[in-house]
Amino acid sequence: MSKNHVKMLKNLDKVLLDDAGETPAEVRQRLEAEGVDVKGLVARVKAAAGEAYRQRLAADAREAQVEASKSKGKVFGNLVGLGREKLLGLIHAAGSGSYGPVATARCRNQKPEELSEEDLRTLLEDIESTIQK
Amino acid sequence: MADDQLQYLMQHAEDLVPVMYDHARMLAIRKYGWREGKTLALGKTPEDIVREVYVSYINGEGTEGQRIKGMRHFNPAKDFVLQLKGSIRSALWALTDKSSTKNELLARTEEDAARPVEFGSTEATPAESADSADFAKAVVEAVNEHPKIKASQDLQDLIAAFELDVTEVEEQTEMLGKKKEQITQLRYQLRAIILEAIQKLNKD
Repeated sequence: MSKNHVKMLKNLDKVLLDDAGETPAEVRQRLEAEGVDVKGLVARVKAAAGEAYRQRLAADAREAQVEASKSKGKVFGNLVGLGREKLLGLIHAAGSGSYGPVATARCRNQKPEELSEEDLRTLLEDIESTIQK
Repeated sequence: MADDQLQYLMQHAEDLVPVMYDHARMLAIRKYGWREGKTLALGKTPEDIVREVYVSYINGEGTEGQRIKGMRHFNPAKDFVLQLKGSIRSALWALTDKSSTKNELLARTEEDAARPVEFGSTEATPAESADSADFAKAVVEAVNEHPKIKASQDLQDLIAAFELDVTEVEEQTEMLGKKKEQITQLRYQLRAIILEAIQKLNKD
């Protein structure tokens, strides 16, 4: 008899654990009817998920920053102290293929003459990090 | 996890979280003796389990193919919700496993540290099996004695179907000569009754 009860409970478990007949809206409605604060529950889980996502993005950004600092100067040398003409020269050289196809592609559609000295450095650092990858 | 899956998880929380919570709660009640207002092993609640599973998938982004503690990945070939439910099941199991004494054994002396630790069998002991049989008997009897069951011939017929191992909706539809929607409704009613019976027993 006890074996029958165990087997019967296993059969009834299908109603408790495996029933996939309800839509999410119906599940929500049933939980609310049973007194569960579904709105609060979803908000708390979403907040934790959002926080994890933000931490993940921040970690990725830190990693990218470390990678960028590692690659800094390896292609174009130290850009600090270089004048506008030299910076433009490096960009034109990159655009004409002197630093490989990736750098050339990265220079396409750029108008370096319209950029400030600081922006030219940023562009070169950006090209450098692309080449390093 | 692919970006689109991550976005899906973030954008569909309203649908996914209640389904996951319902599954966690059912498992906790049915398998781990939990009831409202109580905590599971290590002081966790079903909500904690859902939150941790949700976050573990987000943390797992970009680490596909690696086994890292606290991180999970979706298998694009498998059903999304089934994977989430499976993770809930696994997290609950891990919780009780973590809380078991075998993981808390600390060597007090060097002699202790050198002595090999013998872990007990994970098979149910005769006492546990008897407990489980007693529990099953109590649940089945409580369900059969429930006033709603006594008052409804349809529910009694449904229980008879389960007793005969006719457990799937389609089979029950055929056996009881009812429409699928009617069987589904009866199963929802039966579900609430079983839940009530188990929660009462967990309380006692």
